[in-house]
Amino acid sequence: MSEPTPRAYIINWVALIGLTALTFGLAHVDLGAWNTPVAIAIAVAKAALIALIFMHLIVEGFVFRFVLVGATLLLLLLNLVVLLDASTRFPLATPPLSHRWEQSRVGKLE
Amino acid sequence: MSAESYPELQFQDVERQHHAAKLAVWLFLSTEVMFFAALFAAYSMFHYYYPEAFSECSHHMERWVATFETADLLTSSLFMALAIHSVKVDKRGLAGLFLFLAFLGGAVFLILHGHEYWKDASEGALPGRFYHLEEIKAPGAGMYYAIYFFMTGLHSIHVVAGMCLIAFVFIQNLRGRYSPAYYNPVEGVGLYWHFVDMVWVFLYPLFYLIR
Repeated sequence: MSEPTPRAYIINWVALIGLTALTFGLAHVDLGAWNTPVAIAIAVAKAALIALIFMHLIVEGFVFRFVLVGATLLLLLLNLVVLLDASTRFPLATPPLSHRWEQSRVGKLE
Repeated sequence: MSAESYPELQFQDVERQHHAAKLAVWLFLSTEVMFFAALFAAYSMFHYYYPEAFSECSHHMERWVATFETADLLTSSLFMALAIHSVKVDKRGLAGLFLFLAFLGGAVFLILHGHEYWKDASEGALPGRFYHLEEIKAPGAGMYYAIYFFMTGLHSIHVVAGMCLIAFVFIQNLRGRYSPAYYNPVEGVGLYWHFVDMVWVFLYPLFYLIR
C-alpha cells in the first residue's frame, strides 16, 4: 500500500474542519455529563485522522504505531493515576475552596 | 544525482536510512507526548478540583478565535502534507509554495494567540496570585489560567520551533538539496508540524469548550 495521495489529504482536511465545526456546535448544546467526553472523543478522532493520513501511520509498519500507541498509553496511565489520587484524598489534603473541600466542610463526604 | 541519494556508511541502502530517520523523529515525538502528559495530568487534577472555575473561565475565552486558530493549524498541516508530496514527485517550486503557506499558517496562529494573551493580561486573567479578573470570582480561576498559560505557551513555543524548521527546509529546498531520492528533513519537519497541530486539537476543547 502506498502513501496517501493529495486527494486523500484534501478529503482528510475537509473531515477535520467538519469535526472542528461539530465540536464547536456541540459545545453550545447541553448534553449533561456527556459534553466533555464527547468533546474529547471528537479530539481523539481528529488526532487519529492527522496521525493516520497526514503522518502516514496508515501505511507505516508496526514499530511506528507502537511508538505512538505506547506513548499515548503512558499519558493515559499518568492521568488515571493522578485522578485516582485526587479523588481519593482525605479532606485535609484537598486544597482550600475546592469543591471537595466544600463538601467535606458541610459533611457530604462522610 | 545529488550526493545525498547515497546512504551514510552505516546503512545498507537509502531505504533503510530513510526508515531509520523517520523512526527517530517518531521516537522524539513520543518523548514530546510524555512532556505534555505531565501537563495534561495537572490539567485533569485541577479541572477535577475546580469544575466551576474551569467552566466559567472557559466561557470567558474567545471561542471563535480559538476555533479559527484550530482551522488555521489544520490547514497549515494540509499544506505541509502537500509540500512533502510535492518534493516526492520532484515539483520543487510547488513544494516551496506549500512550505511558505504552512509557515504562514503558523504565523497567523501566533498573531491570533498573541492577541488572546494580550486581552487576558489586560483584563487581569493571569496565573495564580496575579489573577484579578473582576467577572469570575470562583476559587481556582487563577489555577485555570496558570495551566492555560503554561500549556498554550509551551505549545506556542513549539509552533515557533516548527516555523524555524519550516524556514530551514524552505531555504534548503530553494538551494535544491532535496529530491525524490532524498527528502528526509522535509518529512521529519512535517511529522513535527503535524504533531504540534495534534497537541492543539486537544488543547482546544480542554480550554475553550468546557460546558
